Amino acid sequence: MPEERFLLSSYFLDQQTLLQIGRLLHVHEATVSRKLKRLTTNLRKQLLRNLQSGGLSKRAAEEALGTDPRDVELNIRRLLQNSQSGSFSNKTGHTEPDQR
Amino acid sequence: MSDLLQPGQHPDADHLNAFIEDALPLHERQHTLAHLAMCPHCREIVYLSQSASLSESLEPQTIVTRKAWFSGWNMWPVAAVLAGAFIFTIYLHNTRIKNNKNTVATTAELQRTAPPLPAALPVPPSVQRPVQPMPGLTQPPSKRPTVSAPVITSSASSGADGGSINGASQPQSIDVLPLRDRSATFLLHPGTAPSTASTHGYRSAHDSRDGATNAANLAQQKSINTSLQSDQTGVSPESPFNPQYQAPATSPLMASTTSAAVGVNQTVEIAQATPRVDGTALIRPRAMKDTPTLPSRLPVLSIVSNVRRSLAIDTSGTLFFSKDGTSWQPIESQWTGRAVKVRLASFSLSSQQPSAKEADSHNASPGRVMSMRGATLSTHPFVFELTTDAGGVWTSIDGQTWKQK
Repeated sequence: MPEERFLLSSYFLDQQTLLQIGRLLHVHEATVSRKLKRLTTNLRKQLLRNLQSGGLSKRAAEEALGTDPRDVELNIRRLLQNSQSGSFSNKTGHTEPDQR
Repeated sequence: MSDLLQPGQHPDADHLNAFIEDALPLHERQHTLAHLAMCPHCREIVYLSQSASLSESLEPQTIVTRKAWFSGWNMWPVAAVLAGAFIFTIYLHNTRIKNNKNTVATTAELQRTAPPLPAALPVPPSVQRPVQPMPGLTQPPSKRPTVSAPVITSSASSGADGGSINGASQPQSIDVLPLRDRSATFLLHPGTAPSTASTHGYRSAHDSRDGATNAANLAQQKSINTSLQSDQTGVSPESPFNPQYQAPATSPLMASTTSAAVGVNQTVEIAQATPRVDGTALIRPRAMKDTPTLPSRLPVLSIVSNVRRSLAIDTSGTLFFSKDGTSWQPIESQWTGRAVKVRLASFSLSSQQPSAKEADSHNASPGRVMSMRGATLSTHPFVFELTTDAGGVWTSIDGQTWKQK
């Protein structure tokens, strides 16, 4: 959804406040907060399913999600910004060499 | 995606402004959001423009111009009404001042032209009656009402005996005695003869409030007493008929009966007591100040005293007699039983008229009999009455000789 992507990019990438995001979307900041909470939860579940479907166990998938992003050699900003065409998993192979 | 937002192209400023103002249709808004989610440059522009629009929108809100509550009113009619009322008030004020000036001028002119008023109308004699002082007496100004012109009755004002002190028809002003005052004492004045005894009661100078009045009365009294020295025959110094005798503890009843006993008709204002012709008031029992000590050293059971004699009964029933109140002598029992009570009984004029013999025996002192208005009045208005424990009642005149009643 374009609005969900806008919320995630504005909050996590641009470090905008809930108030600013709510004013731009003409909704209350609490609404923005609930939407962000629901999105993150859904993303986590989706990642777990993807990891489990990729061959990891549930525990291994949870440990992988609990990993500190600073220890992961991924440029999440670039991935998110350049994820218009194709899924996130398809882009990961192309971007890693650029990060390095 | 719309044609304007192709991949790699950014929306123009108007489009972003429309997005910020929420003026884009829904599908264009979705395309713009999808672009903003992927384009950090456009997001930065959107947030900067949003903050600028917010600051512009907040500035006019902070400046609040407060207007007066009456700013919306149209003040001209109100001001016109007030001005008209003010002018009308001034006009009324000036009109009243002119009217007052005209009235004052007219009144002054009438006073100048009017004839002088006649002399004051004579006051009716009934209203202008002067208060003339009573001849013979210099009555000091006193707030108390006075009784004027006592009229001597036929028995007292016959003129043949000349026993009246002030004359039969001489007007006299007598102070109305404050009969409520129990501390007042009276000087009793006997007449020249028993048949025409004229006794006047005067208040002594004990009352300091009426010092001037009492001084005048005493001076007059002294002159009267001097003229009556020759007429005072057979009256003991302690007798109530002595001119210098001062009856103790005079009551209002005493005052009324004193003036009535001499046969003088006076109009006396009596506040509470009812006047009563009673010879018993001539001598009142003297109050014993303290209980005497009897020779038997027993406590006093009953005690009574008149002017000169005192009787007391101790607890053993012995009767004691005393003339001065200090030396007591026992009285032999002349009655049966034990004496328990002694008191002074009133002497009944109708029932106990003393005989001529008894009157002669008491003629010297104090058993004198005087006649008043055809009735015989003894100077022993009180007799001692003794009550025994058996109920017997014994009477005595002198306190020493007792007879059963």
